[in-house]
Amino acid sequence: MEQGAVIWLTGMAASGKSTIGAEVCERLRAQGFRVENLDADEVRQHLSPNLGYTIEARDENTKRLAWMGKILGRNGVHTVVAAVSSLRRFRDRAREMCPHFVEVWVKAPLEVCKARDPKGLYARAERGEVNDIAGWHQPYEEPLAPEVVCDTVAESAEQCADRIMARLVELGYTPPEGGVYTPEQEQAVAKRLGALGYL
Amino acid sequence: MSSRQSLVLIGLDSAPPQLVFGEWRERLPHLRALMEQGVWGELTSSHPPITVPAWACMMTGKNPGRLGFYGFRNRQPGTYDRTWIATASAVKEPTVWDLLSRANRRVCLVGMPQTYPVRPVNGAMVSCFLTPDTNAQYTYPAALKAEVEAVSEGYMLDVPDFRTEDKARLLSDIYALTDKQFRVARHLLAREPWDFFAVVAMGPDRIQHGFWKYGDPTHRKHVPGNPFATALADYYVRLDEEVGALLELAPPDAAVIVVSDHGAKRMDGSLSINDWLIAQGWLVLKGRPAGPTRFDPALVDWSRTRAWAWGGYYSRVFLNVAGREPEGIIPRESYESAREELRQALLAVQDETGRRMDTRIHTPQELFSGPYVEAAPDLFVYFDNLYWRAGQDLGHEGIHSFDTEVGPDDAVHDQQGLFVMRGAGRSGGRELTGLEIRSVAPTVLQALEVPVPAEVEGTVIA
Repeated sequence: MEQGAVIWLTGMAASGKSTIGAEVCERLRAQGFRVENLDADEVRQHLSPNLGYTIEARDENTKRLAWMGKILGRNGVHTVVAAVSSLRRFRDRAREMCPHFVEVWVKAPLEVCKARDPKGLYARAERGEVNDIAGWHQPYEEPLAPEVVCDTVAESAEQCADRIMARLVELGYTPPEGGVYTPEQEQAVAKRLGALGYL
Repeated sequence: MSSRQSLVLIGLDSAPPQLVFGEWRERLPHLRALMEQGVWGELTSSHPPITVPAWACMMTGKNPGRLGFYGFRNRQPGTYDRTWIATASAVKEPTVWDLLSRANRRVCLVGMPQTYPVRPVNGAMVSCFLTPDTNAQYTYPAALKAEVEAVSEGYMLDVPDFRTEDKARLLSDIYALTDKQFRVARHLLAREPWDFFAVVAMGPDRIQHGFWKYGDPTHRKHVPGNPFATALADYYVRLDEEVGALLELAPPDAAVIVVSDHGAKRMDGSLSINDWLIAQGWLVLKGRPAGPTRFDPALVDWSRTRAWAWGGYYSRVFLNVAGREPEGIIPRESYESAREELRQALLAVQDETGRRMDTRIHTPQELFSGPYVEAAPDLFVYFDNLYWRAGQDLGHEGIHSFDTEVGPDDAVHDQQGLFVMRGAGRSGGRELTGLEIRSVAPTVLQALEVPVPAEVEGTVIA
């Protein structure tokens, strides 16, 4: 069974994680892979409706997400996780749990995130309705050595997805897009075709 | 199955019509019955007549100029050394099963070439020999894999270690491959709901490449009385039994197609095309090879080279064009004249007795249409009408070889495959002529009463 990768997109709310995550999912599916998109908000809704947004609750939520990535990965499913996952220890734990872990830091300045605010979260905070936004009220610890950094002010979601897909290939977690095989697989297939006289 | 018309397609890769319709006909009762109850005839393959792109041409109804690949391995245009293998990812045009799935018809495929990596279908798929190994995900849905492994007691995607002197082991593996494929096919045909069921056996191709010389007295390496003299014919008898056993499980009114993507014939020799190009001054190396050497672009002096070639069952020749290749030297305005000069020189190539070969040479513009014509090799060369394969390696004493550098030395491909169809209005035992591989897809769609898209190039076989 081939090991699935866990592509873990971290960044502040409205930095662009879900958009990039969806693009990566689509590209992996188009290549014929099995893929699961674990959007943190959606997973919360179904699995953790009572979890809030305290540090402890975020700890629990990211642990659940990492565990899901782990069991999906060992069944050959590439898993995209889009979660704020604000503290380094959350992400480091996920890295330990999940082989083929790819940390993607989706970065945008707080002011840009506030301006985007697709779910109205920052507007609610302005009104005093919420006070637990990572990167504003709570710390957001920037990744120290992510596999990919996506600057969503400078790059489009498609460009970010391009680089994530390229990194997956570089790491050997997926074969080249359109090429299908890892270098070792391609060598083995080419050898077999050569033995049959085709090459 | 629904009450609508259903269709079973049985692919026999490389099955030669001259033997199935001719010499072996009386020994193949199930295939003969299909011919007598339906329609049959030779089926002209794609250019080139190779498993890839032939099955894709058959199943999309489109030519390679529209598909974008001209063999298993393809050159990245404008490079000397970047190549890619054409898998399912390269098939961007809709296949028969894509179109049927969209029309909400159920499909079930086993072993269809060029279906790895697997894509979702409305039904089930067991992929083909382009899968790296059985650790990879070769079924759709994924859960089907465990079932396939259980039913087959360990599935085989292809025969291992094909290039072997242990012919008894090879023969045993070819039978095992066939047995497992058809076992899975029977299991799925009985269990899965389907409107279109297809199984493609690769065993015929493998046994022909490995054993042709033993049964063909006209093969230069034939030894009378050898222990494998009837291996090929006996295998086809088994294949015919498998066809019968499979069709026993199908509804009696299911239409049936038996088809091969190209044919086969004896191999007469191998022409070392790059050695020939060197001798003729088209290809220049940096240094003289010490002996037989694998062709490697790094050995080539591109500043003095006008052409180089790839080998296989046919040869692809590439010109080194200024502005197109990294170190191209043929001016663009001289391209056509250079290509024609080379073509005429290749047509004059002789065999080892001095006989001018009956070589067929095509340009991609003559053969293809579509957006990928200009990405094709500059010349498609079929030495002595495919009786001679092409060797690309360098440093041989002469250009004629009868012990190939890689691969088997028994059989080559032929342009003519076979087509048999019974049901959905095809009856009467009529022999049809002029059939072409791109016509299979619209014929399947028409039989299943699914509209044939306008861009499909073939016509319905009536």
